[in-house]
Amino acid sequence: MSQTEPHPARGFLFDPNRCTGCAACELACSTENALGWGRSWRQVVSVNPERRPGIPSFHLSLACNHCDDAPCVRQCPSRAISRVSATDVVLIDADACIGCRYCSWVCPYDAPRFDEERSVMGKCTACHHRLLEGDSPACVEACPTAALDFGPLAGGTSLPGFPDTPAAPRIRFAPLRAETHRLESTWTIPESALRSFAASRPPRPAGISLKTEAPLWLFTLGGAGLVAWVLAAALGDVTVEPLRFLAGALATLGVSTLHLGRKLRAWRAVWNLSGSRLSREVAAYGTFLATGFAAAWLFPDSAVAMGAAGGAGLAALFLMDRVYDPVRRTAARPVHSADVVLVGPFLAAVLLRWPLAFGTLAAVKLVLYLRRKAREGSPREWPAWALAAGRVLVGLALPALLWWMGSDGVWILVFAAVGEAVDRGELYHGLEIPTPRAAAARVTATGNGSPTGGGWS
Amino acid sequence: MALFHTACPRNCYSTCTLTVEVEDGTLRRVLPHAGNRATVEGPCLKGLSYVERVASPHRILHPLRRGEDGSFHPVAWDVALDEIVRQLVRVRDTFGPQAVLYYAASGTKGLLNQVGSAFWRLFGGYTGTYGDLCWPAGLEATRLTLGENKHNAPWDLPNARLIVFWGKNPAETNIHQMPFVEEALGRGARLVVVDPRRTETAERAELLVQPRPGTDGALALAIAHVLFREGWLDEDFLRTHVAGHEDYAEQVSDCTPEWAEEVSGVPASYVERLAEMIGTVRPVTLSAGYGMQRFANSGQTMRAMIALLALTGTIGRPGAGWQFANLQSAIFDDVKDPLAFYPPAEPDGIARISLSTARLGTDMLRTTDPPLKLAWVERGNPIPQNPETPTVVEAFRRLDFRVVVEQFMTDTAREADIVLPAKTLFEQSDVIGAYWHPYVQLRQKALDPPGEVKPESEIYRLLASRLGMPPDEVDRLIPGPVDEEIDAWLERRLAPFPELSLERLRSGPVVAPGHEEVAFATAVFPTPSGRIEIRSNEAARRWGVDPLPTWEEPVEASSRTGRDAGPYPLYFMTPNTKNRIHSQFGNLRMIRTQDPEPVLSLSPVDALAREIRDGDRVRVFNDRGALEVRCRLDFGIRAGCVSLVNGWWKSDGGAVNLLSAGRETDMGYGAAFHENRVDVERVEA
Repeated sequence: MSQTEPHPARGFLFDPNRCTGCAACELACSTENALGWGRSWRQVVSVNPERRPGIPSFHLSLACNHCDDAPCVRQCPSRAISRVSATDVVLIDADACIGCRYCSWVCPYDAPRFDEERSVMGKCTACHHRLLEGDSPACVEACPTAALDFGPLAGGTSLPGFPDTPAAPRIRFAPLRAETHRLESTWTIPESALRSFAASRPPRPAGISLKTEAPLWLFTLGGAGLVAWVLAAALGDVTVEPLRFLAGALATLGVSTLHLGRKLRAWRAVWNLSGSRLSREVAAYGTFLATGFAAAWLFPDSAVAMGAAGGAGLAALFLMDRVYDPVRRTAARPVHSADVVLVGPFLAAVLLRWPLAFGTLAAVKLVLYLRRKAREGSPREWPAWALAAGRVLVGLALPALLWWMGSDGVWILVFAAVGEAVDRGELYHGLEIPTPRAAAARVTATGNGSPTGGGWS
Repeated sequence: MALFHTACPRNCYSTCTLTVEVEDGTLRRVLPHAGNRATVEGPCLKGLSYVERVASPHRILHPLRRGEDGSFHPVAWDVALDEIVRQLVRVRDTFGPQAVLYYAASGTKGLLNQVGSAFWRLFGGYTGTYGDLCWPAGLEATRLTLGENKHNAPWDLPNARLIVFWGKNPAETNIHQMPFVEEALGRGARLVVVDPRRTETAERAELLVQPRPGTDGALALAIAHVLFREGWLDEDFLRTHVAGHEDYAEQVSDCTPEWAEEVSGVPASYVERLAEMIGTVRPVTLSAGYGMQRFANSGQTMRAMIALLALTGTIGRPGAGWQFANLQSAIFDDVKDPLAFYPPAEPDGIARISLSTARLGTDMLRTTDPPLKLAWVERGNPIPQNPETPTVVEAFRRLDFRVVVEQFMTDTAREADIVLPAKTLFEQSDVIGAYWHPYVQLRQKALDPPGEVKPESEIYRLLASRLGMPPDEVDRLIPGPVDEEIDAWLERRLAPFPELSLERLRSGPVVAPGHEEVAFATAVFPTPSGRIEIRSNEAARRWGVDPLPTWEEPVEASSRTGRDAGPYPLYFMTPNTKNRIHSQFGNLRMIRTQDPEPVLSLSPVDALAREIRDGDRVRVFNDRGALEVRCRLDFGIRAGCVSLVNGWWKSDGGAVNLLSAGRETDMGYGAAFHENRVDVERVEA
């Protein structure tokens, strides 16, 4: 909070009692910012749209909250997002944005959107251009019930369904009257019917999946493979051929730029080492590639040089995993069986033919994998079953079996790599961008809808 | 860049005043206008979507003719008009002018709409329609009971201590009423909603009364019973201003809350509680919606509801009264009496035949003297919107020739032989009233019509000259195409009202002459007795109903299955949505993003009994038709009721009137097309 400033910061002021969820704000945003009919930087999020008894049904009109401690500003690798002094709002510089979408991962409010036409990110500017003229944002002007305002921050900082984060969002809420004044109905749904449909409707998918992130899936697997190769060279009699390594390095770098909206600006990805996980990952991976290539080319026989490169590689893998922290479904369980920090050493153990290291890492990965499956509940659909069984059999059991049978062939590596690729795919499949929609869905999911079921205080 | 003040002419309570920004002949933005106290915060999402509507790539910009293969092709105006004239003359010469159906609906309000009937009168007569799909039962019930359809100004609502929204969901249908509700609640007012659905409006209420559809009249009778029993009456008011309350006491003596519970499913204790609120809190504003009065019993139901306010004397005071329709701005027409909807056959020696709007399809098919051969449709989309869509389609297809004036290829336009491009509200000036707030407004021209679009007045003049109509008569009735001629025509209509002039209206809305902020404050009730008539002999004489309010099962309930589960055990509710005005706006991308497909709301109780899950595709059906849509579980809707908003087109797969019946309400010539029973089953994927 910026209480030390002479004037309190300005932001959106929202009254959930007045909002009827009409979406006029979305349309006004669309027109004002010429986003194209049907597209908007603002979204109306509904809590309890299915109208479960005992829980109020209401709406939140949300856009960018121009947070005091904005994760997008901190995490933007190209420093394209900043607070402008003229209006004190957070803006994206379209000329500096590389279109990596990382701001949409780290924003708890689902504010930044990829602009398909310009291939950069866009988001609510609080109608910066109107603020400069002394006008209010278009959504505020258009709200037919005066539920939305923009001005000096005053009011509550929380509302059920609004994501609770340390970003210090510049939005304030009027207290929801329905929290204290409960609606009484002359007809109530019988408990039996309520129990039969206990599960809440899942929130809309939030634009992240293996399909959308396939380039990153390839990039991280390839990166882990290169690190494994260098580690094996440092610790055993494996040779890193400089040209092949260079080819691999260029391939991974190339594939990593595929998900950028503006590939020619990829160099800007390292612009924010002090703040952005993404910048650190790119820089660390670049360092690894440079040291790895230098070691392979200039000091092919030096275990020390290869070891240094391997260390840089492990550091890069560690930082690579950190990039995904904001979109892991549960932040409390930060280790995934397909984290590259495990994949790299595991593949290195295979390359090195070190049964003990292989066995230990395989056991760790198996435990993590099975624990995750247990948490997710038994997969009901057979393809999920088959995939899980296949991942364990092909990726862990089969290499172990071949090894035990004395095979020394390349197949052990191939099977292990296939298993890792599947597991890594599951990681991407399981990512979730935290959104207000998901937060709103949790309001009804935690109170199971029963008037006596708790969850809604 | 230029700014224009104008007004939204949709069939909507709010009738917003708008400021529009025009740049290079393009509508850039639609903005609020502070001159209208009722809509000061600005238009709803539909108003904002006009930027797309006027410029939509799907808009019809040229006359279209249906080809042999059924597809439509642009043709020159001359070709289209010559073809229409050839057909008109052939039909008139062979069958008489009454073989032409002129069908106009509520798509756009404006005084210039009158040029249509003026033209068809010059044509030699025509077949028209009487009645209305929207509100006649409630209008007539109000007129019979209070003498006039008017209510307190919208901004008076915060003075109420108790607000009862009976079958009204203003959060979706009259969003500009919600700030006044909020202000009232902020001042400590209490809010009750009566609706089988837990609506957006109900979220603000302390009590939601969820009766079985069609039983609101029984609830109102039982509340009256309690008022009499407890003596929660305003004796002074009754003595001086009310007629028939003694008889009414007798009439409702058996209508106990227990009886109402049996009929409506609302527990007697809640009937008592609602009665106590209405009986003891002052002042009370009772605001009734239109959907509830589209039942066969609904005129009597509405009279029973108004009677509650008469008994408690809560009429004619700030924060009090009956809110149904505020026709104080309807100074140009006779909408106040339903007989105005029923043009006499030969008012000026020119024979006109009238068909029932409620039974449009059936009546079109039934007409034989002469049989209908040609239809002209403007400002309406009767195929999905009139009751019994399958019959309406059949009746249109049986005609020789159809002309539809439209902005978009609606279900009705798709049936046409010739489609003529229609103007939007921004492309010709007109003057409009409202039915919630008291303003008269100028719907000011802000854009030239795009493409080859011509306003109806111009189309009619072109037809008139081709048909050889007397030029001086045409000039008198139909203004010429130039803006000045339109303005002059409007000025002539405004002339009787010194308070109104185009000059004055150009800068913003003007409160209608003679407006009462608090309706009936002088306690003048223009009924036959000069009192509020709980007992109305006129009602009995005109409509053959009991002179006192009564309740009967609606037709669909009693004639088909009563309260028992029969072949069609579910009540099919077809309310309006915030996203459309009837069948308008839903085709725009801005609106489609909000509301992508028709969805049936279903109680988990009914879903469980039919092995339906959330999101399943379901078939909604009865013996009139069927729809296949996705379903969504709604934990707030009363079990036994399903709901699908009306206004989806047939081509969207969601036209609710495929399932409705064409029948009239007990009074006013309204359409009783909200009482429909259906069943629902899961569609196997």
